[in-house]
Amino acid sequence: MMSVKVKLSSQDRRDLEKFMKFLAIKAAQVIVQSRLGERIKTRSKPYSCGAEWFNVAIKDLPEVQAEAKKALANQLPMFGTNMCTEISLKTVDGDTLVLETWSLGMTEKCDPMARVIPTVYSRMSLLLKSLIAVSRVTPAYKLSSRQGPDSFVICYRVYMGDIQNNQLGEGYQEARIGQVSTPVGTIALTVAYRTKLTITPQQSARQSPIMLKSDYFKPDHSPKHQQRAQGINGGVFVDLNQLEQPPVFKENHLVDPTAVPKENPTVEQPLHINNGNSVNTAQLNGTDNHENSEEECVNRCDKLPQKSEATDINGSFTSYINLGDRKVGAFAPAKAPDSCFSNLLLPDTPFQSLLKHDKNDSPVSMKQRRQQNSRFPESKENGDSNANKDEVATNKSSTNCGTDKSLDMNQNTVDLAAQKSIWTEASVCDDFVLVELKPPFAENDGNGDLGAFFRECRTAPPLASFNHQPTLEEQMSEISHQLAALETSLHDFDDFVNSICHTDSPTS
Amino acid sequence: MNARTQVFELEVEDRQVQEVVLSLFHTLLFHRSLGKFHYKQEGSYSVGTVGFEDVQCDFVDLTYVRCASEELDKAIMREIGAFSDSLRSTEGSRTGQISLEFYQKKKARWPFPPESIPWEVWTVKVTIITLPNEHERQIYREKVGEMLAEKVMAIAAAMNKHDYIPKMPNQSELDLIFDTSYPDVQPYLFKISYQTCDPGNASVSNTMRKLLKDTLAF
Repeated sequence: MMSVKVKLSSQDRRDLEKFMKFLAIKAAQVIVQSRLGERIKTRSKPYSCGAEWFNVAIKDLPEVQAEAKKALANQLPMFGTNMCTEISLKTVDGDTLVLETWSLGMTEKCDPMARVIPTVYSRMSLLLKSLIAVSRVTPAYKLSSRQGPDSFVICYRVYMGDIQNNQLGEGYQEARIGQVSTPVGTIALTVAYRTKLTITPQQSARQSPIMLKSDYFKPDHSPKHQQRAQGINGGVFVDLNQLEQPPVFKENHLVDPTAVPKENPTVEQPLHINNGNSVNTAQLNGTDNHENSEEECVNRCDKLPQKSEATDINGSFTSYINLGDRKVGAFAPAKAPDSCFSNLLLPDTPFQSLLKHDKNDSPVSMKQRRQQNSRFPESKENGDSNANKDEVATNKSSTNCGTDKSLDMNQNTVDLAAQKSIWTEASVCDDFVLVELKPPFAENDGNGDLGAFFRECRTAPPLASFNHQPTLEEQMSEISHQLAALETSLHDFDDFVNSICHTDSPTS
Repeated sequence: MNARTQVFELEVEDRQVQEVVLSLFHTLLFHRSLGKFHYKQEGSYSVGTVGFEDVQCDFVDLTYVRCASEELDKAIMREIGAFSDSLRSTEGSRTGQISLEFYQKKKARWPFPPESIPWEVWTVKVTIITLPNEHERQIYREKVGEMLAEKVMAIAAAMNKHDYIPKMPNQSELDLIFDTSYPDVQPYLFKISYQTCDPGNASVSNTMRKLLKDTLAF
């Protein structure tokens, strides 16, 4: 496997290969853990136990362990084949920006005098320490601490292959963390990181072909989170939708290593716990409904901390679980589009009556249909041609209503043409009833009135006490009554105050 | 006396001095600390594990890593805190330097104490600046963070050159190489020394005083 420059004993060779393997895995752990957006603390131990490699206390997150092992796939970083850990940023709008690539590779320069134990081992330990120190000072570290479901999440990917620095934009910088000379070559650890953090429109158009308002759909249904995971070897694109087996991991970014399909070693693993923007990949296949999948996810997250010794990220798991149990408020914006479909409403939704207008009266549905109407001429052709495809895609979710179907279809659709067809189908079904619309509380159906209606619906209803406005006389008489009552009990107040002063004085 | 020396020169606000020096010295000591040695038999020993923790600075836009050892942290903090206080209490244009020196001891003939031979010296020269307003301070907070990020990378690069470091000792000579006084980690023997002065007063008397002080310290 390795070209041997000097005669190594078989024991030394085995040791060296083992060290290199664990160095690669530990390096991936350090890099990924430093991008969790949390401060890490591990304990020093006077006596180390077996699993602590290189005498540095680095936690082993099972997900990262599995990813790194999978990427390595019984190879080792060697001449021309680097193990790369790529850190990227993914915005709420689905834009992706590769922030940095850490690369562990090997050059041919070798040091025949270096003994595997202890020299190489202790130098690897030093290299890991340098990696720990340097991983805190690249720009991505600060970004990772600011990640959140409302802004962006940080993702990672581990792969074997050439470093792809062209994704880092103009003016990226490279730094060498360090190197370890071994009898078979020099292991080198480098990082290349982006310095310009601007998402270009081209990237935006390429990565997120569906231009929709970010909270238009329920966050978990949102199609914009479908991202094509780009393969490295030979540039294979891996699409989560096309996986035969739905991976159990959700895009809330906890990876169940057993569920990751083996044929796709380069699927991006987001780091942050991101309930709000998660796409349930099981849903993408149209086999699961929202409630079940969310429960399943929460359960799985419950299990993760048990599997992992990492206490530092448990906080995130917990926060995710809390979020997972969250009930969306009746008038929360994310749910607003649902309000037009009364059969989707939960029976115990508070103020439900306010939503029970005529189906067609909902301002959202009207707005939606307007868009559909304006898009109809161009989208109809595509819709016809793609109709069969859409039917196939939606057959599985037969229990959902028509709109849910279209949402599911959105998730199943990646290319723009298919997206157009969805709009078409929705508009054809509804027969353009918006012509008949008479929004409540509105003289005409201008946008301002709709806006006012919507605002009225969303604000809290006025308190009943405001309905009865007392007259000036009433107020005056009430005040004089109150004054009289206070005067009569003046002595009581004085006594009370005196009693307090009396009891306080001895203590002070 | 052919110890490697490296000098960092930094212009910082007075409130930043402590964190700036701490971040650099902790990064250095993290590299230069090993797990505790436990000798089983002569020539064979086991090594403990060095933990680490992230430290976020208040006055500098930086997070650095230090060894997870309370005692080590206290020891460094004591020295650097004194340096910072001394620098901040000086009137006028203030400048100073603080050094982290790694050394090994060499046994001398009786009755002389062991000789200390430095093998790596890191010096941070600090000049205090004053900024006019909060806006400037915020900008400078980030700028110092960037400067320190470069220094941390430079430290990593220097550490991985694998220049001379003392050989792993036998059990009897452990104290000549490592500081074994900490319960959880085992740094190479190190010493922190500093001097502060007004640049106008950097006179012969100061130099002499330092020489005497250094001589007496051993």
